[in-house]
Amino acid sequence: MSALALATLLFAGLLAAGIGLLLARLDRAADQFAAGDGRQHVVREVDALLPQTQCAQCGYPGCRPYAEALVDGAADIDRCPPGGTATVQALATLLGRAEIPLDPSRGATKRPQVARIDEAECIGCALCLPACPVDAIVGAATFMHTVIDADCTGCERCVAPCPVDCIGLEPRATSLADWRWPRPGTRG
Amino acid sequence: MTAPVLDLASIRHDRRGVGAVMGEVMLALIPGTLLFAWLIDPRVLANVALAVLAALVLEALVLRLRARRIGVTLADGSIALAAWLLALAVPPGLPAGQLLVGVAAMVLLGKHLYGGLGFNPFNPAMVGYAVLIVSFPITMTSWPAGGATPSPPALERTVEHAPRDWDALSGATPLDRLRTLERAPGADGSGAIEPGAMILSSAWPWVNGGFLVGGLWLLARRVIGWRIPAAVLGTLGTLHALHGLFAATAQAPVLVELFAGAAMLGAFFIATDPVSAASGPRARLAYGAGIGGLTFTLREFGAYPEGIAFAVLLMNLTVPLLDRLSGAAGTPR
Amino acid sequence: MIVRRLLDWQSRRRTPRSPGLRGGLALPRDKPGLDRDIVEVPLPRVLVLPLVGHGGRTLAPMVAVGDRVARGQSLGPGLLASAAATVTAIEARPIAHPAGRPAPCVVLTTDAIDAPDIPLAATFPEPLRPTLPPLERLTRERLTACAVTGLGGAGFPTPDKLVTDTMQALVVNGAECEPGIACDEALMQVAAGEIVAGALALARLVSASRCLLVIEDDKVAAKHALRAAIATQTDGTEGLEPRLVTIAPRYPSGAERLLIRLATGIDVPGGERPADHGVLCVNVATARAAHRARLGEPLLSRIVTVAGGRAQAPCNARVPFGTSFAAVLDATGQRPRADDTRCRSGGALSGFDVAYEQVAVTATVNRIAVEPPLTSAPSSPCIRCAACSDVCPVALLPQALLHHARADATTAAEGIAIRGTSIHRAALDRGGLGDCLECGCCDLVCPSSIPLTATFRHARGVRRNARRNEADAARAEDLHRRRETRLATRVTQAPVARPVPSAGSALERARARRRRSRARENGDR
Repeated sequence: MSALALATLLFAGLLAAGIGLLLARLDRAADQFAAGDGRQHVVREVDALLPQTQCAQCGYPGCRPYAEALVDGAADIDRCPPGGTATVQALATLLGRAEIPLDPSRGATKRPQVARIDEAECIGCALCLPACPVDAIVGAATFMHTVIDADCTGCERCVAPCPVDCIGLEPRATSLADWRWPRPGTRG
Repeated sequence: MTAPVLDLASIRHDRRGVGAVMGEVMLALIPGTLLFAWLIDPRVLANVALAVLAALVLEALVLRLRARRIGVTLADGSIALAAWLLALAVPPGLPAGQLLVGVAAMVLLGKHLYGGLGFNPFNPAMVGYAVLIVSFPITMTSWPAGGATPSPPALERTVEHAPRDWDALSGATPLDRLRTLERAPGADGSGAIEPGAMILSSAWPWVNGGFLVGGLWLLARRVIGWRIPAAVLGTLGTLHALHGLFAATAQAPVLVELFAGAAMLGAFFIATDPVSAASGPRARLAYGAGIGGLTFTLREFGAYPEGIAFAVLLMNLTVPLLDRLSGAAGTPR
Repeated sequence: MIVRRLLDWQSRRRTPRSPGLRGGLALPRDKPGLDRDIVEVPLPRVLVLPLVGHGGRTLAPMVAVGDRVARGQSLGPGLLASAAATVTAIEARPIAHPAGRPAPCVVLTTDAIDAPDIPLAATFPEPLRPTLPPLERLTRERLTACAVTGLGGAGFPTPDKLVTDTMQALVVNGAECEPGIACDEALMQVAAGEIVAGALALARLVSASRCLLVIEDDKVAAKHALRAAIATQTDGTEGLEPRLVTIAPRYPSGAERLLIRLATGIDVPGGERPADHGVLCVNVATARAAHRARLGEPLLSRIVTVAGGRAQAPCNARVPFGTSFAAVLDATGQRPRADDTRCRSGGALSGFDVAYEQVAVTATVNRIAVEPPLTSAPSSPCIRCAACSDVCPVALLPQALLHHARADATTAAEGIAIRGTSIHRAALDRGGLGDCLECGCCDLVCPSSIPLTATFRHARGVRRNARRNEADAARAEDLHRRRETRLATRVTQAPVARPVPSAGSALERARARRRRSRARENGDR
């Protein structure tokens, strides 16, 4: 065998060995990641895609439990109405799953809304306060209750506990501050 | 359709459309083309006219098939310019039919296959050239003598005894013969001839000079940027110089190499095609350097005498990577 | 990776080598109306003052219909009455805003005694009409009381810019680089003394160690006026000497961030406040307003370039806030021709078209123009010529940004809380979309007539929405987590099911009332 052929064989062999070692190292790292706090990392990433409405329409008591269920494979990605199809797509991309349509039995995707307490009807029973997952209702027994617009996520969990049915959902008020330049070529 | 938001018309700033830009490039091609016609072979003018006309007609047909607006697209002049460059790149004696094949390849494979202006990854003129040179290798390497003296003694003796009814005498370009000479001195029986003299005594440096003048004018008019031509010529020159220092056989001087073949045409007109070239500033330097390097490699160690065409096509392949590395990724390709 | 570092355009972009302006365009000088005196527009019968704050937020009115208001009285937070008047209405009216939507406004009918307020042939600067006592030193409260806002076009309330008490430098922006607008230059020519005095007052207020007035080289008369004013006002200023800095006339050197870099060398990245880098930058007219505020006069008017119609001579006019564009055009003798159907507020590049001539002049309006309808050449595909990046003053690559902006499908999914980032939005952030000045230089040079600036404006809006969504979601998550923590650490009291008030007649009556009122509402709709 000529020197050149030997050298080529050696080089090819070294290259193959090198690539093999690299792949093995990467594979080992991936296993370590998944077993350790890698899971928490993925749960955080999934949670970062959920809208944080904390509405429990998915069947889980908040967005974080749903994220954990998604990572564990206990739930599918079609359960979040406030997130809409955009969130389904983002979850599909992140988790590497097939994109499926939003499950209509979970509820409809609504425009941003805030709860409003009709002060004429409110009897100050404070039953709505513990229902709010983000503590957006202020009030106390026998005192007037009100919703803090900036904190309210529109999850509707306060509507059911109210014995006088005085909480309604209204579209979130928009002002010129919400106006944006339209995409060129569209009506905007 | 929303109304435009900027009132650009009221700003007094002369703005060149695509058609105007292509037009200026074509103006810049005129000196070199005329020198080519006068000093080498006037048939190049016929080739240019035929190629441009055929390209326009073919593009109109394709646009009709694609249901696009014909007038506006033809007016942008890009296919006419590409056709002109193709006509300059092929030997003037190329049969018209073969030239038309090249034009068809350029319009269809080089441009509209990818979606038209702005979307083609390869330089359309070079695609046409590549198709021609692999399809018709004999006719594509038959260049006129171009007034090169001294002719090799063997050739002279043949010509002396030429019968009256020979149609043509095909031969290599001076660059081609230079290569032969450099690799095996005395191979064509010409004895010890100074390599540089081979090129200088031919008309090619003048033609290249004409393209250089056009290219410098384009630079001054800010139609092209300085980075690509500078990188191409700089790299090509440097590599030729190094080769000249370390090669076993005598080589032509650097300047001669830079004025030989299609170096100037390639550096200023072909490599600078904006659609197929890199777009970031540093990416453009790398792109030009790559073209220079590949041209040198193909000239010295490749089978073809001139390397610009394949060098450009190969570097076109690397453009998405160069743009991505320099953060300049543009139109989806 | 070495190759990436060698090729990386981005790493060079962040730190410009020299303080000079990179890119930009040298546009021909186009400063209308400087050959004439500033025209005084008389107070109109009706004033319309929008209850819209900076950034578009709605202001709560502090007056009611029928109230009599004095000149300079607050109508809302930061909004003053331009004259003694009666509040005729508080309703939605068209305003000078690119949205083209009406917004709540206070409509005033001026008292007869206050109009006309100054004889038309007055000399400039106009006499002082204070409503507050003069101060020895300017204070932030006085700026608020006089509603001093930025008059450069963005309308940022000046007191809100003073986030810290100490700044390195005060920069007064007299560049006015956009063609077609000359209101600042006209002001500099006639009120240079007041401008310098205002600059000194502001510099003292923020304890700035440097006070720079920046002007373009080709504003010759204004330059001389400022130099003369500086020469007479240098002593007694606690060691602070105002300096005049001249820059080459190049668009858009007058953009705040760029100007700060040209004048002081300090680089303020996009999205950050100059105040956080120790620089306060105000427009020349704002500086003058600050001076007059110290002397007790509220900011109730501004100079506007009026370029109505193509046949008449354009001019610069002093206009009380709340005057409609139509009234300004009448008062300055501009008669639009039949085909001048388009009304524009602001410059050719930085302005926007407004639908009616009934919109009123506010602090953000620096030019009024009535022109023929806009036409634009049809756009063709990008030829990757990179002329746009050669000209970009903040060293972006518009070609790359265009690709990503168009590819990002997130458009008007309005308000749906989309989180996470697409490849394209991430690429836009990396590519520096946040630094984009929306100056329009790229549009001016693009051979394919691509609407670059319009695309970037939209993309920046999407970006702003995405960031706001992200902030809202983070807030909700934070509140939820605090609540969970609170509930978990509560040892004594578990949430007890409180007894529902007995289902007696009171509850029944309440429910029945609710059902009736709901039915009525549904019946009305």
